[in-house]
Amino acid sequence: MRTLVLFVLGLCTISCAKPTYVSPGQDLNQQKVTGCAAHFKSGDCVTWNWETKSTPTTFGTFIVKTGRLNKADQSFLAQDLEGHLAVVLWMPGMGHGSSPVTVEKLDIGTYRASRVFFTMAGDWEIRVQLKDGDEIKDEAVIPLIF
Amino acid sequence: MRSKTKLLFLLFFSTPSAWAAACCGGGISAPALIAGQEKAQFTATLTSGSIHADVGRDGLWRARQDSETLNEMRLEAAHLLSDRWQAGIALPLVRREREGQAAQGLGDISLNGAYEYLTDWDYHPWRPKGLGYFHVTVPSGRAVQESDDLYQLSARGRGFWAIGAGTLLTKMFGHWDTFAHFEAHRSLARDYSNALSRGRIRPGLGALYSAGLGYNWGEWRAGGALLSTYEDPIAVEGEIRSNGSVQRYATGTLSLARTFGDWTATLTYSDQTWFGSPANTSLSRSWTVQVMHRWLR
Repeated sequence: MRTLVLFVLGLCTISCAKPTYVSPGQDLNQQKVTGCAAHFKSGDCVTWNWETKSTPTTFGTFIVKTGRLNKADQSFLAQDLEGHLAVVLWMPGMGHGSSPVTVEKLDIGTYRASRVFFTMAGDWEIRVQLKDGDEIKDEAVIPLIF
Repeated sequence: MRSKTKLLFLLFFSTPSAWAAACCGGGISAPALIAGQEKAQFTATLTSGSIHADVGRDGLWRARQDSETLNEMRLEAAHLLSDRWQAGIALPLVRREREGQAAQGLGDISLNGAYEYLTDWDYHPWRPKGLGYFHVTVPSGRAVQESDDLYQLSARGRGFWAIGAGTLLTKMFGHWDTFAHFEAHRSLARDYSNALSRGRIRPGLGALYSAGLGYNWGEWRAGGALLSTYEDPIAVEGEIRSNGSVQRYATGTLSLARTFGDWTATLTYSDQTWFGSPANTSLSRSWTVQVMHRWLR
């Protein structure tokens, strides 16, 4: 039995996990987006901000705006882009998404994404897609840590 | 005593919780192997586990704030085809629960064949017994990429066809038994489609290696083992493209077993938070009760 104890202690010494914990969703509190959060391939711009932050157990909502930067002062100008807008939550490390997000148009180049839920903590992407029917015409990818 | 401990030892090796879910649907399905002196064996295993933390590709841990449990009933059968050849099948039935919602169904099935390339018929003092095996994983459990329910509970496996080969080396030293195990496998690309997107998912190679030992006295055996798991990134092509990240985790197990004639019962605790530097995975803790019936040669 002493050998077993020594074996376990030896294993611990060389390979015990050394976890560094962070709180799920804590990074969301640091996110306040001004200007462009990401670009479409066309060069157009997307920005976003939380209305209600997602938690590990509840849905969130956020506002997405599409448009361009003002040439004079680089402030964001909302404008409609060609195609209808869809939002996909994607976990690039795992290679899978989350449950579908609902998108409604509020104003020119302004949309609300609701039922925003992250199935697990980690690195995510908010993929803002411009679609023609089922075909994705353009896409902007916003990285996010949940 | 010698043959009895050999029989007990395989329980430890085949403990399914050691292979259990790292994320979502589960890890690679384990083969059913006869590592002792039997001509056939049947095993029923009940595993109940919960996810303790998610670990990102940055290696940071985030404790789960809600409860997600995975229960698995695993039925395994293996039979000798000749003195040195054997075949086996493993059928997992999986039930996942989270926040009052649940889904259940068949997980990934494993079919395997094995050959005893190093015999220990002469009870050599140091040369181990060696089993080489190959296995095929059937994607009968839904992949997480196909699951679009809120918690993705309908994902019950990795959902890929996979082929693998490995070796298991075992040795007795008095009251002690030891094993070392290595496996490499390749998961095959497949198309997927769900409410969000469609395309093709490309997994890659994976590897398992484990080692453990146990102490035997009378009808009892106590043991411990460490299993390390690695999976290549899963790349996605199609409407959404992503390269994926390496997944790795280690599972520590402690087990206690007792024989009752041709029957053996084992209680095992498995913990994926003890060892290693996990990345891009969920870490679970689980208890397993296993009952095995053996038919000796």
